[in-house]
Amino acid sequence: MIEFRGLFKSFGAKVILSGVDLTATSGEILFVVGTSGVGKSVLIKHAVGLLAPDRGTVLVDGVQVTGLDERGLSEIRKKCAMVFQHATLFDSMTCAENVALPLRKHGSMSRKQALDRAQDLLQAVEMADSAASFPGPLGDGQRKRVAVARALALSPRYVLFDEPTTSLDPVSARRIDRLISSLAAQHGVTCVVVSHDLKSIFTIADRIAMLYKGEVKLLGTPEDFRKSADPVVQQFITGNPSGPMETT
Amino acid sequence: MVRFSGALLAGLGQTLVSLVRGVGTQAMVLAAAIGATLRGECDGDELKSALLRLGLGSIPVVVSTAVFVGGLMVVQSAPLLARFGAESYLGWGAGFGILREVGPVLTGLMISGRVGSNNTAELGTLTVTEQVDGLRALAIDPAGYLLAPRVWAIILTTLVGTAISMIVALLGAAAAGLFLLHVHPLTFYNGLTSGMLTWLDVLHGLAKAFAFGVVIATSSTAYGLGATGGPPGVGRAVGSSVVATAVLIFAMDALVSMTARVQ
Amino acid sequence: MTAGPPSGSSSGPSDPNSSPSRRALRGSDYAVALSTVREGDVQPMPGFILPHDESRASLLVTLRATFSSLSHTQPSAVVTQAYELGVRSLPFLCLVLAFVGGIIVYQAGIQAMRIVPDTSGIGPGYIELLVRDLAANLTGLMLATRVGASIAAEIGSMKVTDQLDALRLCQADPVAYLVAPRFLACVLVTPILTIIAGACALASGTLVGALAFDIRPQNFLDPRFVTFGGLVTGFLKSAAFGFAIPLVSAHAGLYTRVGSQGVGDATTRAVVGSSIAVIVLGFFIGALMHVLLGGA
Repeated sequence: MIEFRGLFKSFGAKVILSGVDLTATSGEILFVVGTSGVGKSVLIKHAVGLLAPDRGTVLVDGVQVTGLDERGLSEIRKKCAMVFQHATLFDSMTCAENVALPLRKHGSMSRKQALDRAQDLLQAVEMADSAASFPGPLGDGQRKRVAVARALALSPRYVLFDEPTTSLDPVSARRIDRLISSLAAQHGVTCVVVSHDLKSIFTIADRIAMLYKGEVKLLGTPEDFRKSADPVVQQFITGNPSGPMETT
Repeated sequence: MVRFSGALLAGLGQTLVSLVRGVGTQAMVLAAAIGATLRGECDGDELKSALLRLGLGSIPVVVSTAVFVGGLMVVQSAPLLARFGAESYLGWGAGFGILREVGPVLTGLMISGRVGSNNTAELGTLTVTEQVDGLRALAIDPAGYLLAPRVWAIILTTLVGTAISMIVALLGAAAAGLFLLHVHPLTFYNGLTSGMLTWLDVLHGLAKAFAFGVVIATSSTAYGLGATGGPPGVGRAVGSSVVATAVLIFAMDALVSMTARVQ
Repeated sequence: MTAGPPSGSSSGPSDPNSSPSRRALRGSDYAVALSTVREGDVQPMPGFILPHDESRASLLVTLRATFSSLSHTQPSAVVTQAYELGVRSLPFLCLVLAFVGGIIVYQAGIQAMRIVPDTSGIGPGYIELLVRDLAANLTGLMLATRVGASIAAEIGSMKVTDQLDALRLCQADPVAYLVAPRFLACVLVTPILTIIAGACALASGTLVGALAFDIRPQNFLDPRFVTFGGLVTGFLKSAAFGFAIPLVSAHAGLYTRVGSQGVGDATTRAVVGSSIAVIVLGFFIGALMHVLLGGA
């Protein structure tokens, strides 16, 4: 279970989060949605200690993450992996070496063992053929899948996805959706997905949390969202350019 | 006039303040690198790769500039020597200058330009493309994986590079002395080894090289990791880093020169 | 980012060379760029090398392009650059030259005491060295670092964010618009900076002489060794450096490789290339003058 309790975060004068309370329960797919710049990425980065809140706490499996130093966060990060928005693979290594890196650093595997396991992981995301290529020439969708394979290397219990389908073509986007869905269904991995892709949201989400103006505006199932009377919520889920919602 | 000098002083003050802040960050970089190494986390593969890329890659630049630096020393002192008829002192003069001052400082500056800015560019790129965050998210401490290997590689490169450049510069000086001042190489050699220059002078130069290496390593790393704002941010980081390193090199030079009262 | 389509009207003073990389191009920029094109003729762009052909790009091409643009460079742009590259470099320069001046006098003094305990020659010798050689060399080296990095980073950033292409679409040659003003500014400003920085080195040298070796400033500040030839040498060097540094750096910036590390690499190339140019030119000019002035 990942719990965000009363999270406040500002960058300089700009207030991003003003009191966010949110819990992701085990095995579910929780979508954190909202317009660009509303603070979705900022929120989930707190869960792995990449950002520290001004106020509030974050707990992963009951352990308080906020306030831990880099050494303490090490354990959290093995349990809770993150797939970045721009895949963020290491340009200086091949895809297989990218996936193998956490295995070699934490799994006390030899180089060969790690690369073999990396091959298996790449197979699971349908990227086995690109094992020996460098990330540079690959397309966005392909890089994202390699990044997912790398995140899964240490068999984490939680995976955070930062806008996994943004900038992907529709086919690649649905492939990522399928990947996330099978992670939760077959392996019991809790997936917290930051997104504003309406198709993804209404296809695979168990629950949705909508961020607006620094707070959680609505938390519920996709049905709850569809039936909501709130004009801002309705504007978001219908993708209507005119309405009360303020965008950045 | 008053306003101009006021502005000049303000600019000077600003430069110094940002320097002091920078020095604090650099001290933290050094501490992080030492800590990671003592914990055994210094990545061996990265260290090897850094030594090859940063170290071996800088040898051509160091050697080619050293030749001209040696010649420059001779050209600089030529009129003064000619005036006093002291050509036989060329070996000693060039040796003194190269071993204690010009060798370490100019090599330091060239390495800062070539290796330091390369390091800043690489680390800056990793930072702006979130790859450093990516490492942290994989629970890999950047201190052991990125910092320590590069810091040690750069310090070693500066030491070895300075040693090599000293030798090459002396050779360059001997050649220039021959062609411009008609000083026979043997006279040059005699002047060099006549006993007024000792191994302590060499040590003096190498101690400076070590200090410069530390400065270049920590400064370039600190600026690289602080880069923000995409490719332009990387360029800005490189520019700031080279300037700050240059000032620090000269400051260190002054410090070592004036405190090491080697007789 | 406030990048918008160029507007017809431009409010406020147009400031074409105020760090264009730090803001998106404005309508006023396009207006200035267009004004570099003379009415009635379509200027060929001597510095224009198509992206797929960039392996053809050489320093000579940039040199020629810069020279052919000099005649229609905006004076206001030159002045802006003279401020950015010149005045903004002064604190850094003065600091470094002051350090070095002090160190040199200190070292010279110690050695003089070692050999012949007569410090009367230190001041005059130092001044002669400064004028002929040291001020120019050191200023050149430091400018190679600061100005070189600055020019390459700015032009390189503009390349990587497609702003150079945007200029070309407005019939403005990036070399005329960006490189020529910086080149002129450097050529004009470097000798002046050398003199000012040299004065700082002189001041700190005098201070060290007085504090460490009890040399009275009146005795120290004796220019009796300075020759006209020495003055000419120093001036020639600083002029040459002012010439070489912006060319090498702008060239590195114009042909920045695309990619995150491109600008950083271009900056590195600029700093290294300019520094090598300064050292090599310094040596050759010094050697040449030594031979010409009846040395060898």
